[in-house]
Amino acid sequence: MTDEIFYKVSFVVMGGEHPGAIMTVEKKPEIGDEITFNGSVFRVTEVMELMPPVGNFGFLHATCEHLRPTRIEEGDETG
Amino acid sequence: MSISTNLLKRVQLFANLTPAELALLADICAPTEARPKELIIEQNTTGTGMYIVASGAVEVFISGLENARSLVVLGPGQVIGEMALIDQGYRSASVKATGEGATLYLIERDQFYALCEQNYHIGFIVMRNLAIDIAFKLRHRNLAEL
Repeated sequence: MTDEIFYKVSFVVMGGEHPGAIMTVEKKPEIGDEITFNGSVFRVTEVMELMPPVGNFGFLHATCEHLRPTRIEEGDETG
Repeated sequence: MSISTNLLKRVQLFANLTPAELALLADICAPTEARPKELIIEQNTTGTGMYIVASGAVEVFISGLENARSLVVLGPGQVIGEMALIDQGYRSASVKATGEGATLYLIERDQFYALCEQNYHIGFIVMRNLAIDIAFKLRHRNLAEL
């Protein structure tokens, strides 16, 4: 069996304008991390355990704030 | 193109299954592609299986009389349509691919049940993990609505 650890993460976005996301990641998210989903970049502001781990899966909740759409980010880099 | 057992290892629904059991599951996973914004599941229709998101992402939303409300975005390793495996009822929400599109694998309910009849360990583990997945999504919703 594998020793790999995966984290199933519930990302909730402050403000309620974005629906949030559920993703499986290999690295435990930390405060300050930037993540991308649904065309936007978000910054993690809080991480907590949502449920006890089962097998090689951890279950986390991360609160995050919206930073920018990914398309604007690309435009900034080229502009 | 069959799903790899390496990808199945990243799917929480299949956590704690042996490599041989993952290979049996891989045999009943049918690949399908969703173009950007393509509707994958339609609310209030009947469904016969569940999907695993292999790459890209999907958006789950519910439609009311006048508008639609987005509930969550699900990335690789997540499952959609899983309630059809349990209650055989109408789809509780619609699901569409996000702007990048998505690659998914469909597991038909009849094939999944047949596999579980042949191998009770797979059935027990997956049903337990399914309960965990639904609990996780419920907890996510509770926090999202604070």
